[in-house]
Amino acid sequence: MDTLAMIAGVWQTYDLTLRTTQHLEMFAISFLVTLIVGISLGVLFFSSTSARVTGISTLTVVEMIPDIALLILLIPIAGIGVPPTVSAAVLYSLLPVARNTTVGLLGVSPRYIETARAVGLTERETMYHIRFPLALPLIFAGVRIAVIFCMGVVTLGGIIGAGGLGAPLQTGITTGNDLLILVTGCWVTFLAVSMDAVAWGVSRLVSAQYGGVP
Amino acid sequence: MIRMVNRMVEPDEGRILINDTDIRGLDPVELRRSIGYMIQHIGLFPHMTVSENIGLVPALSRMPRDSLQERITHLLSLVKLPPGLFMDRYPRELSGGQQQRVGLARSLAMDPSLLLMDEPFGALDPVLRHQLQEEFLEIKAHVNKTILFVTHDVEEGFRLGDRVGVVAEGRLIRVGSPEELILDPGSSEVASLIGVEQKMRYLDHLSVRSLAIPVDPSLVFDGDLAVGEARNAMVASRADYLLAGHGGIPEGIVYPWDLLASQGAGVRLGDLAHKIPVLDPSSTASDALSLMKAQGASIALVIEDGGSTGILLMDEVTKRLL
Repeated sequence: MDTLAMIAGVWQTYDLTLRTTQHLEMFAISFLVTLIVGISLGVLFFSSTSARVTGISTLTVVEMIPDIALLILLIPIAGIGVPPTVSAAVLYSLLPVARNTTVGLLGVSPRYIETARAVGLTERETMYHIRFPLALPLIFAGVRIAVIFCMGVVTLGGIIGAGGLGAPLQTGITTGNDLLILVTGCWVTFLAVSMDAVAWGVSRLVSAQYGGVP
Repeated sequence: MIRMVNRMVEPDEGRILINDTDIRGLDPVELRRSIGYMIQHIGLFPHMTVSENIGLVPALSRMPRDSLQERITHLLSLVKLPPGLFMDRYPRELSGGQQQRVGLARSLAMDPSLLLMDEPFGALDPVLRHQLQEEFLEIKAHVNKTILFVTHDVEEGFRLGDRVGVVAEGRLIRVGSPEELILDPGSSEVASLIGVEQKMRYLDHLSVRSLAIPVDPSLVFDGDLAVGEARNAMVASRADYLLAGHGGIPEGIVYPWDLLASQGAGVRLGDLAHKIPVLDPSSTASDALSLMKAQGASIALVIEDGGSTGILLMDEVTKRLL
């Protein structure tokens, strides 16, 4: 039996197509939630110093919990399977997005803000038309980190019954199926690298559009 | 000081009125949109194209898309940037001078009746600054707006300003036309700022009108007057010269030696008159003096539209400016 046929066999037996779909679904949900919540938090942290101090330190503490521990800690609250996995992925990825959003918004050169005010933009218009666009390169740097974090945590979700590509990996480990581990592992790695490449491409586009410097 | 006008800074005391309305009663955002604003470091938004930069505030004020596009094209042509070439460029793709022009176009976007300019040409090299000043004067001449222009460059102030205010230590100590300030500084601060000892360098900013002196009517004689009588008149008035003309309008000059040299009977004053240059009262003193120099004249006639006349004496000008 040649290698390709072996790989195809493993793929079919463990239904890696279904696993991949599950995996990407969980990834998409966690990533979207992270994006929305993370950027909102970033804007909140930007506008309120007290929220910034407590928020960032809380998220930093969460970040320091090892991801496996975080998953297991969430079981009593969110049960097992998809909910704790997505929650953990979001909690874990919030920090880079929120922090970069805050830093990006704060870091916009005051002279643009001054000019915006002087030509008659309201606070809200300044945020929407000037501050946020100029912070985008930095925000996207955070988003790229979030992509990697989400991919990692979603894969770990396999051990608490969330399905996805973590599940066949888990099976491979418990049954000593090296080929399964190898195929799934390579596939997950490939997916993660591709996601990161897409994120990298988008952030490059954004940086070019917005002048490279926030 | 300029930033108080658009309420970027609130005054500690006193009021600012625009067309008799206290600006503190106005909404700051509305106020700022109704005032054009241009600053030294331009402040074009780097993430927007030239046309987005110019069109930002009009778009936020809900100007219809068609007229906005038209407006942007018009403004770009006004500041001498071909719209087709520049509309979609980003600020980083422009030279300093081009950015400055876009800044000017942006400040005119809402067609404000008041423009604030805070050292807009300060950061440019002298050649470019001069060129933009020229263009600014051209634009200023046909946009018909009130422009409040701050500069540290006295020369620039006199070149561009119709009325120049001098601010020292936060106080407005003098307001007047460049000519008034140069010829009559009024205080030692203004005098030292202008450099009164070197008024000569302001020849470009002084008009013939401000330096001309009125014609003494007793020195104007009809051209048909006999030389003998003219000689007597000159002796009587102890003048250095006589003006010969018709109907009180002088046309030429007669010097004492002309009268003395002509012994023949029947010679008329008009026959002896030398032609002298005629100057436009609104031309600059430096143009006038070069014209006089070219014609070898030390005296010139200044004829106003209204018909009243004056003369410009080179000696007199030198005396006043030194």
